Amino acid sequence: MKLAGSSALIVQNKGGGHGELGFHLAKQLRAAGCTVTLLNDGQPTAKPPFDHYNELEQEYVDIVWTDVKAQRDLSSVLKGKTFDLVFDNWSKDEGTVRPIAEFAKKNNVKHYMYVSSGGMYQPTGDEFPILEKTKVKDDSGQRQVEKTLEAMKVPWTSFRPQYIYGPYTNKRDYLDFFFDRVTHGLPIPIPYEGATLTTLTNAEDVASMLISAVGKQYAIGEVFNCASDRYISYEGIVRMVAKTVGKDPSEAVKSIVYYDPKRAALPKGAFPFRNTHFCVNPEKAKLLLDWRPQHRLEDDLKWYFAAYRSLGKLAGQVDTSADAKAIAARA
Amino acid sequence: MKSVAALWSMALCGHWLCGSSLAFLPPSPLSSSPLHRLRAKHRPSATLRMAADQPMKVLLIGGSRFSGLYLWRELLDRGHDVTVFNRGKTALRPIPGESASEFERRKSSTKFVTGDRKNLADLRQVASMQFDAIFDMNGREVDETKMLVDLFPNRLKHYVYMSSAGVYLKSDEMPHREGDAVDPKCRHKGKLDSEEYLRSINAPWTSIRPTYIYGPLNYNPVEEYFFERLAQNRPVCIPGHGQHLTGLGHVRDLARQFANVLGRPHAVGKTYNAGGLEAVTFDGVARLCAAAMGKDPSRVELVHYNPKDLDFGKKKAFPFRPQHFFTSIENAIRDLDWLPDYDNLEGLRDSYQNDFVIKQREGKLKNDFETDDIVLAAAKRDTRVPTLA
Repeated sequence: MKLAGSSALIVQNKGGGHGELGFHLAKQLRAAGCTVTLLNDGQPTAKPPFDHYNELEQEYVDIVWTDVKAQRDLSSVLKGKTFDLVFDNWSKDEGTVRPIAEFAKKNNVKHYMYVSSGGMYQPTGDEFPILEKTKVKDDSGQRQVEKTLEAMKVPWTSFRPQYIYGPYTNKRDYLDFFFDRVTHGLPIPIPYEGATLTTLTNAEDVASMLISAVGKQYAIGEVFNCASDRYISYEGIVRMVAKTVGKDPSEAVKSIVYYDPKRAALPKGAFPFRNTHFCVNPEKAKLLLDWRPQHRLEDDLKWYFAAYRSLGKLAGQVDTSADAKAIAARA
Repeated sequence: MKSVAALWSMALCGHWLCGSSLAFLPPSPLSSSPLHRLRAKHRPSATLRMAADQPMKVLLIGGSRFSGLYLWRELLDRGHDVTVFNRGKTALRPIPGESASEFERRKSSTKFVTGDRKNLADLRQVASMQFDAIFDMNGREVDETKMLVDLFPNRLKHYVYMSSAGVYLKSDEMPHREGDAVDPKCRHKGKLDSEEYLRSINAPWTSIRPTYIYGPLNYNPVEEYFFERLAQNRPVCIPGHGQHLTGLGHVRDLARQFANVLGRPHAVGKTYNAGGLEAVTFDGVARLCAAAMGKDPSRVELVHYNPKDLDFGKKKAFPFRPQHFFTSIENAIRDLDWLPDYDNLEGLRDSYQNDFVIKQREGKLKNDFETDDIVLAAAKRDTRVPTLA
């Protein structure tokens, strides 16, 4: 099936790490000639990325706000519209996906794309990158969604992303942790060692992967890791951020303090990434969906830093309450 | 670009690329998993076999020790006509898994030319022969490459060059991809220069860049390093934190990748990384080797040390450099219709059962633990947690 002339329903969650995917999906689908309805969970808000929704409205994206969980039948809030495609960036578990899946089936939706989570993987810790065949947590809500879609015989494809950033992100922790400390000349506490690898992906690339599956019958029933094809080390992020803000990268890494996270017992979220390697391999999507990431982190950090400055963060105070604990537990 | 259908059929059921039918199977130890059994059923090769691999006349430079040896077997199995050029110093012997009759057939159906590739007069012996393809498996310096390839101007369909992923510049962003920055100061500069020379003369070249190759008959003590220590129930001494990721590639998968270049003109002028799908941490290699030996991986004793603190003299204390070193094989998968058959555990098990155990039985192991003893003595003296920072 072709995107041009098709109709797509995007179900978008309230925000967080996946918050701006709906925006980019809508934009890219409209650019491809698809009719788009963006069903946003909750009430209209000026929080990013939703403060940019007027851009979508100018592109004739139909934006609907509702309490998605409270809808027993989406047809009423969607005014009886029919859809060829569903992009589900909202469901969290079996209970929440069921009504959306039922709506999709009633509508004869041809392809149901689900934004799942790479966080469900349980690698042994010895082998990376993580492939789709890696063991996953049984109790993962997103895994339940995938199983439910399969059991309900919905034509589904699932995408498992890692950490997402973008121009309209409201979840800035991943990168601000580094920008805060590098720009303010603060020690940079990092668990264990700087060689630990993670992946950061531009939301536009996540969206384009979801769209690349449309019309590909062989993608139905498949899961795809959804991330950049470059993994970066923590000290690599420090060097990259330093370079972006005009500091000497080899000097910046001297501010890194390696700590033992077991002894430090930091509050959740004190460090934005995991204590150990965690990177998913997106090459199944590159090989089978002919998808390519268009963004490189090093290029994106330039506009990210510009946004950081315009939000007043360069001049602002940094919350280092957890840092002292980490430094006290240095390796 | 190869069609998606080709990739799909190549994958067969149960492989990484096509997993949905097995997505809901409960996890189980690899050796008994349905995934493993399905793949084993479809061996010897997961490659997409062309309807007829058009037989070619092939010259193999090297071919006596390890990767060339397995390639030699692979080429014969595909019906190619093989001439082997080497110094004849290594006695011919069967490859693990090669039956006596297959070994005899290999010997009798191969043409042998003895000579030193660094000697032009020796090389001239093959200059008058007709070849469709040359596999240059043991070249180090650009002069060697030049001397050989210049003997065959416009006469070849393929010149396949054994390069190395060691040419890549160390990077914060991984994996290494073809086209990434290379290190002009690396140990493998000769291979870089060779690739550049081949490119400059528009030779029909393809370069393959492996990370660490392993498997039965490996003359480089990579997996042997770990097997030796674990066999003696010794701790495994690891430089740094043990979380550096290294790429490993099974020699049989490498041989198939090399052989798959033939008959694929779109591979000409390209470099391809070689290795497995998953890199392993140093700690992980120790654990996987233990598992491959039938030992309990959780009981492996690991001792980490800062190599800058210790002096090992001229001895090599560990097979890997303490940095990330792994590549993406995506381009090889796409262009060469190739997928690795082995995952790390299966590959290490193959090496253990079909090589190490035999060496052990025949008393051929060096069991030189001098550098380990230096590490362990220092560890006893110093109770600080070691870091590389």
